[in-house]
Amino acid sequence: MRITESRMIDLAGEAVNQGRARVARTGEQLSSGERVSRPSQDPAAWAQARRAEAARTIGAGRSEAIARAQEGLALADDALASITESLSRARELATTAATESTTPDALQAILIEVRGLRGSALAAANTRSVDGEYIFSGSLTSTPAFAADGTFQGDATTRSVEAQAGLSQTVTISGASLTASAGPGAVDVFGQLGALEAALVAGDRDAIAATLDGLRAAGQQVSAARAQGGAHSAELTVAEDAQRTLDESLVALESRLVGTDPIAAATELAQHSTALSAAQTVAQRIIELTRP
Amino acid sequence: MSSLFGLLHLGSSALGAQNAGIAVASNNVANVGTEGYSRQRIDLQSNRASPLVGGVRAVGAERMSSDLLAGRIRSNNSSVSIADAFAGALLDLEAQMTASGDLGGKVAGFFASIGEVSAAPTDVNMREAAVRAARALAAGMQEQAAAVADARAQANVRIRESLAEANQHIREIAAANRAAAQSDDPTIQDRRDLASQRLAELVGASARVDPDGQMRVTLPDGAVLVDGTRAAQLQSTPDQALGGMDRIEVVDGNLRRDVTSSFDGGRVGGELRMRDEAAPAALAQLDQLAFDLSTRVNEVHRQNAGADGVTGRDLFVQPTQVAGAAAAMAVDPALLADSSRLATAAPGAGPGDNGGALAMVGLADQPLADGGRRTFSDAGIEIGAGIGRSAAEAASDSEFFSAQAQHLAGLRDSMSGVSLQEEMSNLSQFQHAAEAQLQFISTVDQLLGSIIEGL
Repeated sequence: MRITESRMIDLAGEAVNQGRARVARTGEQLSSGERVSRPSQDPAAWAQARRAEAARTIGAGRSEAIARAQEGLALADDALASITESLSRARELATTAATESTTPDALQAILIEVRGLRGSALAAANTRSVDGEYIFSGSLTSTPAFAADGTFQGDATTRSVEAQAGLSQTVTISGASLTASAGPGAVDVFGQLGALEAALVAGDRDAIAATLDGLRAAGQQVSAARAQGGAHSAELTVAEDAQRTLDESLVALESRLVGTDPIAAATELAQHSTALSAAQTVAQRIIELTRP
Repeated sequence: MSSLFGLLHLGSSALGAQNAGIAVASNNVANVGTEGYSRQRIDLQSNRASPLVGGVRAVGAERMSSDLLAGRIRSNNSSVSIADAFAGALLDLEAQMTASGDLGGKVAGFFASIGEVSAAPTDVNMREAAVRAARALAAGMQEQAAAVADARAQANVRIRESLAEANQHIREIAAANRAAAQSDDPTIQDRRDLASQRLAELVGASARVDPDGQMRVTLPDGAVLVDGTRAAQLQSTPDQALGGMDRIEVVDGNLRRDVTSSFDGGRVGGELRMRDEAAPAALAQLDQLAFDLSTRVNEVHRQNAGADGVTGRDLFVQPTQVAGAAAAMAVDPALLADSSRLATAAPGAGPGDNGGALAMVGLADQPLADGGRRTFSDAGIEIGAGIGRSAAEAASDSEFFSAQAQHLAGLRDSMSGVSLQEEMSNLSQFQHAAEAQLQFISTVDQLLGSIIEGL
């Protein structure tokens, strides 16, 4: 087969061009850290990486929702703890007030303190979140959960968030759990405090004594609600941990699919550079050889 | 016995033959860099002995080429061009579509923001962030649709440019046919072959040289572009039936023939594949996704309530049909202006309820797109991946045919290429032969002179 000078030069030039293209491609991968930056470079890997990224985006939304819900549950826990303390103190005061030895002045002092406890419990029950929602009002979050007379003004609706794909978890506690409609044997927490206040006003030691059981039940009811909130929070923590683990594996997957292995890329670059130098040397020799 | 005058004539004709050889070798060297040039070889033939010896004459310069090889090169170049053009157009589209961010990511971002709102449905900042994410999704869909439409328009422009260039080559071939009928100059055939190659690269036309030496050029469906000295023209005309894209016709006098679907090679073939197949397919996928997403989200949104407790509202402007849904995708203007209309609550519940938001979030992981086979996010990703796959396949085809082109170029060069060393060797050979003939003529001349002096 005849090989002309121009053919030899063309082939040498083509080899140099190909060498340059390989060096440029490997250099770009090394500097960008991405082996696949466009679908055409590796359609399957690109699509898988994008799916992983989309899953991470949705996961980030879930994490944000979980974090927000945890904040709300923490607020609820603080509020319920405060109500529990108020009920506990109120029961102590009721025990004291129920004894015959308590003077009218002492009863008056107890009454004042019980009113204060009722007020702080009411304030706790009407706790608002950072965005102004009354956290115990159910879905009627722009309305205080409890009126001044202790009447529950919200609804029994609880809020859920999607903690995992297709799995929702309850993340709020309705103030209805502090009322008699909470379930069998439930009492109206503020009703109990109101009854104690009324008995103290009347100075009726028997009536005062009669509120002790109710106050204990109220305290247990609030503690149960608090435990429920704790359980919600624990479930969210598990979900968040799972989300974090998933996110880490998705990051690793994405890196494996489209990321550059810097050591392999550097080796490849060195190889291509060597090949390019050789091609350039060959091209030079061919040009010298073909000079007339 | 040959006379001395006969010998002089023999030497003279031989000198002429060697000089022709020198001229052909020099011509080859001069055209070493001329594109499409086929080297020539002097055809020397011995004269009939009259009566003892006849000498040599130069019959002509033989053009070293192969019509069969030229045909293979045209065919392969057509394949390279169609793959190149298609790959190039797809890679351009891919670059535009990925520059604005992948659609799957925007879909995921929208659902993620709805998920965040679900934890704080009365938080105005969260609601507005969710509306912004919806707007980003709609804008992303519009951008992708615009990129595809732009790719179609660009392909159409390139088709016009290619056709203009093709018409030039058609005229060149017809002119070369006219010249070839009057002269057997080999360079006419070189120019004609080069023009036919270019035409094959542009429109995938095939050519053959008839026994009368005239080249006939046709499109794959048989439409004649060149027949002897008669040249048709390729004309492009905007056609409403093609959505404003150009219809391509072969025009020959009063005869017009629609050849738009006849191109299976050449640059025009590649651009048509982009314009009339790949781009419409991508746009159809985008439109279907936009339609399905808008419709399903709106269905849920209408069932649920905004912060004011009102139901029955759309989140996205409801598309009336699939076609054009992507380019027209938009967030409901009233919702854009007032994020409290975002239906995060269940019907009849208070504003703090998030049943509506949860219902929308629930759409993210369901296979509601692509005929029930993919999630919305996956469907968005698949559109980009599909373009990438097609581009990779076309690039692979281009590489394959380019490798073949290299091989065929080597074959052509082997047959028709000018080797300087070979020509210098020929030149030296003919030069020495000419010098020898001159010496021979001088010797015969001296003999004649001696004889004449002796008379």
